[in-house]
Amino acid sequence: MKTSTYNLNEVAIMDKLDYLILEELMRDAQTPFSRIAKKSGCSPFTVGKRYEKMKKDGIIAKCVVSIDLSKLGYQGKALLMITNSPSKGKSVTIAALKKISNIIVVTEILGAFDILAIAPVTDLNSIRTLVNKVKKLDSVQRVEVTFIDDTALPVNSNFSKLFRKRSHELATV
Amino acid sequence: MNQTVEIDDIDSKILAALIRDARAKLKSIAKDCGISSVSALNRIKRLKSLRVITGAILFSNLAALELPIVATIGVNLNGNQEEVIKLIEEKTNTVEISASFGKYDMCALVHAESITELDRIAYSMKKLEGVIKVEINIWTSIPHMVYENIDLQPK
Repeated sequence: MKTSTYNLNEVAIMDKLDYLILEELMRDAQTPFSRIAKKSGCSPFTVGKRYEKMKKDGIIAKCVVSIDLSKLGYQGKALLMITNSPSKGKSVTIAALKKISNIIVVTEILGAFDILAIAPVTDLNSIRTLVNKVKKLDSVQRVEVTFIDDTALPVNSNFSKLFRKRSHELATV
Repeated sequence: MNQTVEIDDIDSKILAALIRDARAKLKSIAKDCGISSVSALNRIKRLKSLRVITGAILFSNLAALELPIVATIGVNLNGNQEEVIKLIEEKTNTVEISASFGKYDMCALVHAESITELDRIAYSMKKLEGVIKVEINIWTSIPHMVYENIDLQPK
């Protein structure tokens, strides 16, 4: 079974140049188009056009600056694993979670729980406030929490390494 | 412990703009913050040199890169942590793996080509000494990435 996580539409056809551009942007999403152009042997205009097309096709979803949240006072992330109330829709819970301060990712999950929410935390008090806000939601039946000490926003740099390698492999097929 | 960095309201606004779009034009960031482009650039440079800004991440369609499955793996174990980490790192495309406290003793975020692949990993993990329980939660929707929710001045 194959399900696409970031975009459920069919994937547009991509060529080597697209994967090359992705590889460079995975290394650093702020890389100037002129530098990518030099590396791939086309013009910056072409790179820009391909970038816009991939954005339009949903291949490029988002460019987010990475921040080390420990520098701003955060100590780790809380993973909130939520069991949704059987009588209420999950979308109600998801919409409410997205409005809670410091919750940065919300997704439906399949397994022991229904919904996963990730939120960086600063101290005990911030954990208490966060968990209480989630528990108060009508559509939430149960919340379980686990903590990790990673403080990277949006994700750990391994993410880029992994997908850079993947793009490279696909560019050189 | 990492030393924290003082940032003011303008730094916070700049960071928020770059969270929304890391490729935003300097000019438009400066305009939003009510400062000059030069001063915006200097502030970004400062945040980079202080390692508050560590790079920029591009999120792409995972199906296009043929790694469509995302999952969180939670493990309860009694010792033997190193071997479990080694196994997960070897057998999966690991984004995050760390000791955890609360519901799980260890937590990993991984990408996979298929559910079968995850199943196989769970099976070999369960065979390791010290592993009590392995729980895999597969992400089934397009994740809602609401990074702009972060409070950049929590203290």
